[in-house]
Amino acid sequence: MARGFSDSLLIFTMPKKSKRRAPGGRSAPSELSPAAIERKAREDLAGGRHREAIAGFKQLLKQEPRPAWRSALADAYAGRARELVAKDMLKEALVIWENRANLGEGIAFDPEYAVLLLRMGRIESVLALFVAGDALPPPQRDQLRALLAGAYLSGADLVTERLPADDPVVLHAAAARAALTAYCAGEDAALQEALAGIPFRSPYRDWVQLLKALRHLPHEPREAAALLARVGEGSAFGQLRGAVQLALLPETAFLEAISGAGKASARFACTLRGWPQARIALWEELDHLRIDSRPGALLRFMNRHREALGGDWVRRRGLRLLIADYPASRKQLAALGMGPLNEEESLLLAAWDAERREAPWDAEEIWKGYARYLIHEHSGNDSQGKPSLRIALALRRCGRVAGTPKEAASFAGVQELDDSLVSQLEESLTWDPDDRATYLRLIDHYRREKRPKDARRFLEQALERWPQDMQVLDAAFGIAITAGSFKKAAGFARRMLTLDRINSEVRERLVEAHLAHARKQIIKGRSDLAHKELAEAREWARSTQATTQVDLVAGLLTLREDAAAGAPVLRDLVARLGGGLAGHLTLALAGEALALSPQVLFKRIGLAKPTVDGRDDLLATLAKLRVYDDGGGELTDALGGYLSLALGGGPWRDLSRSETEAACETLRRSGLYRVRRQLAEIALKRWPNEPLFELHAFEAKYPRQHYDLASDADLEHLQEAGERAREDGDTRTAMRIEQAIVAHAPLPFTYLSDDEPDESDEPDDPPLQRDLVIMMIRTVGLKETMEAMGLPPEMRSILKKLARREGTEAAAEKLLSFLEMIVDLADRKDKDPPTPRPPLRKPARAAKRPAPRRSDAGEGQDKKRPRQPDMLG
Amino acid sequence: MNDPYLTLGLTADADDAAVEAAYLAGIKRFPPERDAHRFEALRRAYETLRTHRDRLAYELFDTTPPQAADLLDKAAPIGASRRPEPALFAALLRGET
Repeated sequence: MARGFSDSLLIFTMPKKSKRRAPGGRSAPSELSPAAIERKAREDLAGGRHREAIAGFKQLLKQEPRPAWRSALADAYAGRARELVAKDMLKEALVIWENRANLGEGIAFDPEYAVLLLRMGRIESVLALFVAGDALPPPQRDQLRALLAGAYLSGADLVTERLPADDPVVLHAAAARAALTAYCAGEDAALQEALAGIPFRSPYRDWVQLLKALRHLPHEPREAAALLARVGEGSAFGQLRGAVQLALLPETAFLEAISGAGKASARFACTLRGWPQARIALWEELDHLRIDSRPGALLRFMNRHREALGGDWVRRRGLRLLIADYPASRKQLAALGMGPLNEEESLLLAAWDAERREAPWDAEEIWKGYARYLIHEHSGNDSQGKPSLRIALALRRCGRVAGTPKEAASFAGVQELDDSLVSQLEESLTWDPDDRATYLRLIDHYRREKRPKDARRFLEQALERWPQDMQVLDAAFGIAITAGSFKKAAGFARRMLTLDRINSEVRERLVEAHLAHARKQIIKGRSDLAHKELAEAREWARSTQATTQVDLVAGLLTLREDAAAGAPVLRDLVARLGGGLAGHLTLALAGEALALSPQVLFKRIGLAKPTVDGRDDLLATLAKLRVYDDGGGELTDALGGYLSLALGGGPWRDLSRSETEAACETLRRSGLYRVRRQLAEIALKRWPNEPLFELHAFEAKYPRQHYDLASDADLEHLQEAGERAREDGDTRTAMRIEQAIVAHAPLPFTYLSDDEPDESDEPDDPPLQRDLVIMMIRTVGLKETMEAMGLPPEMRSILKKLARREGTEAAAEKLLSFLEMIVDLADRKDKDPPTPRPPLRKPARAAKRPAPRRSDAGEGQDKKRPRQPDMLG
Repeated sequence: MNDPYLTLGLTADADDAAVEAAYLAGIKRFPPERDAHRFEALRRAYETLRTHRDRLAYELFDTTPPQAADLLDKAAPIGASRRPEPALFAALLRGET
């Protein structure tokens, strides 16, 4: 090794200030045993605590010059030197490399040492290392040679002057430099020629690959990347390779990457990507300030560069930077000399802030105010001069903000907001009557609200404007079906098919429209017209599902006309459908659509009471029930009772866990509570204490929410199941259980109960269950809670206004205060002899509250769908 | 980059035709197989600015704060790729970062 050179180098590179002592340095020799010192030093080395590792191994080497310790010390030196290079402390790093080199024989040469020397311009030192390095292994010597080749290309002619003429660095030097000149000048032919003059086994080999890669940029990045991949990790041209790779990154990653790259690499890559000098300078300033995440600082920066960015752009985009600190940020523009916010800007900022706070009531008010402001500001203008579209968009914005799922799940009484929004949506159409989406939204809203006249009002306008639009026609089809205008619905479906002949979904809907029309005619006793509709339906039916439905209605019509002929047709159909309960259910549902109870129908066609024909039949039956439910179908008591009997004997134990869960869910949706309870109990025997099945068992036992007050024991049992679900991480089940408890627990007013107070109750128990009220508001909403409690209308109105003004939290708090006040009054009165106490008011929604869709037959629940006269008489 | 006008290289008064022309030129220059990120950004920008109604909605409702990339694109848009000067090569070959 070049000991002499290293010594001389030390003279120049040793810092003049005294060396900082390593921890646990000479002044305080360690009293640890060598083994303990070694263990700690190796831990420090592995943990990247190189200074501590150096101190430890030096201490050991003083005791004994063991080669393993010297080697470990060399590793610690190398690690420390790299740390210093990363901190740009090059001189200090060089000292450490020198210390490493001075450790003597057996310590392998590290090319990074030479890299640092070159970086510091010490070409002669590297040349000296190369000359003295005859004993180096060939790969390391080749690497040194490549480093010298790179140094030559960077302008160090000394390299070729000092090396022998037959050294490859010298031999290929002219071609390598000519290639660089040709590339920079854009002379690709000359570049090609120069590169051809460099053989494969040359210290300039990586240089060749790099220039070839660069030639592919910017249009062939993949080819460039493939060539770059040929340049190894430890290449002498690694720095250059890194810069080219940087240029290949996608834009977003590129900005992040150049922020962490050095100046030379960043500039090289930016040039390749076409960044003008002004952009590079601006980026360097931005990067230096590191202000991306601080809105105020970014606004100041933008203002400083207002000339380059454009004053108007700076103001418009700068407004967005004020949202985070609103309202404190309102004066920032003026403070920067950009003038105060005008009225329009103030309104926009307030609206954006309300949206950010997710305060739909505020946002609605402000956007409405913004629309009014625009109308007022341009009141003198004719219709051309008014910002009509802007006004319409502001009015529609309220709906968008409130229509987010977050809002739907929040406290707010959504219904009232909807009413207000709907009127704004309607008003928006007077300013911008060409927005199809708004028509569709209004049509959909009125359809859901069961206000067909209003829906048709907007549908007609939409059809006039967009007679060939699939979405509008689809809405028209839906409204016609809802209104029972099946002929009209078929007409719309045909129009859709004219526009899109291969649309199978529309085709199915057309079949369904004809079938619905046929059913209508059968019920009216117009068999001739029913046959006509069935023929139309058959013409369009392609899928098995559609043809089966056509066959079923046709079979039922035949049965009506001629029982002897119809019965075998329907029996065959059931056999074709598998003959089990699923087949019977399909026929029963078709019969239900014609007001035929399953008992009467099956008796007429001579089918025995069905049983579940094994596991597959059971699953098929459940699947049919799901499809029926998804389509909005509701089972009548007659069919429900019929199914309950058949399903009761089903092979439920053959179902897997997930199938059982899905089955419980289907039975819940279908309102088959008795079977659901039976299944949940079977499931609890197979999977004891499973919270989900506990929930199903509970809900099936108390099917009428808010009307079936559960026993304390059952509530407690369910509460425990909820806790288990939460512990298991099953948040969904836990939440469902919480909701079930709220729905079935006694109302927060203890005195709403007609029962006399239990004397054994703890006297200190608070009469108002505050947490329960809060949970109820969170679960069903403020409005529903107020209605369920039977609050008087004037009180509800006050609280709604408060919710709009100050948010639902404030209204909820007010409601609680009000309740507490009532309870206090009640307590005072309770000191008098107890008298039966009527509720404040009957729950207002009691009559409207949806009853369970149906119950199993025989439980005496209301029917949701009235039965029509039996078409068979 | 957030600002769709900058993504498409448009001024604030661009009309429907200008937006479409800029989008078509952009995707021709950056097809998805060459630069998927840029292509996606162009598509998003086009969707944001396609109609007059869209552009007004962007102006009224977009609250995304400007980012460094927006500032750079606004002040000094990217031009044609250039070949670095020999001095830049020399710096990297010397080991400068």
